[in-house]
Amino acid sequence: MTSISEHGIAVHLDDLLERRGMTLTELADLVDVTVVNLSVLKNGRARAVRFSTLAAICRALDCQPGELLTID
Amino acid sequence: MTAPASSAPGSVRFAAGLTTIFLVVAVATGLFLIAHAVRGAVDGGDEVSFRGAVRVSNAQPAGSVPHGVRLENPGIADVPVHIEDASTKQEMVALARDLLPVVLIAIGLWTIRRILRSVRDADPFIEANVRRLRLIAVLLMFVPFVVGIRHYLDNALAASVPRLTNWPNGEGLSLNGPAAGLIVLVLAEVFAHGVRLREDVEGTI
Repeated sequence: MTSISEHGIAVHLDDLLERRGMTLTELADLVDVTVVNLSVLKNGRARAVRFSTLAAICRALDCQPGELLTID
Repeated sequence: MTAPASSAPGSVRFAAGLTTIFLVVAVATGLFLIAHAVRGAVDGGDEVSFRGAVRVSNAQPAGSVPHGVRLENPGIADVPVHIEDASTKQEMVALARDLLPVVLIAIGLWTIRRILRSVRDADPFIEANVRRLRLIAVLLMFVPFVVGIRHYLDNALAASVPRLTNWPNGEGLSLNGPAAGLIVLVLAEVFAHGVRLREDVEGTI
């Protein structure tokens, strides 16, 4: 499931987690971000993402930022 | 997002406790003043006091004046005046004079307490605190006016005493209150900027 934020940015976190067979909780442990904040990102309610967080998520999911975030 | 009260720094909890104590004292003082005035008005025979500046010539200090030091003559002496068996009107004027600063102090303390509570909850940069700081700034800037009103009421009490004529007006205005109010106003604008910064950061993962 892809979530689209108010700025038109689509977050493909659910798809990537499913592809990697990982849960949100496991990802939270790997990237040192709370499950609550990851849920905010997953549901398209985040207003901004730090580069450090983006880099950590991409390393954990073995993906590129362009796979995680796209713009409509 | 709020943090548990128990995790607030000791200094915040100490300040909040102290503010609460002062607020309780202020409220108790106000209630006592009202009860005292009502009892005096009902029973009669109560005493009302006020202070006034009296011009004196040939003023003599309690101790000796060393060489090279002189007293200004005529000088001004601060004199307490007691009206025995005050009338109901005099009681009410004295009550208004004494209650006004107590009410304003209580409002200020209540506002400070609300600010400290938000700090304790780790959520100080909110629009409500900006409004509270501006209110405190206004209260401080009004100090000279409150002093002026008290002097006016003191003069009203003096005028109500027969043959106590030519009672001088109160002393000049102090700028301490407005200066402190200006500082708090600046702090309020700093907080307003903090609120805007927080809004920018909120929702950042």
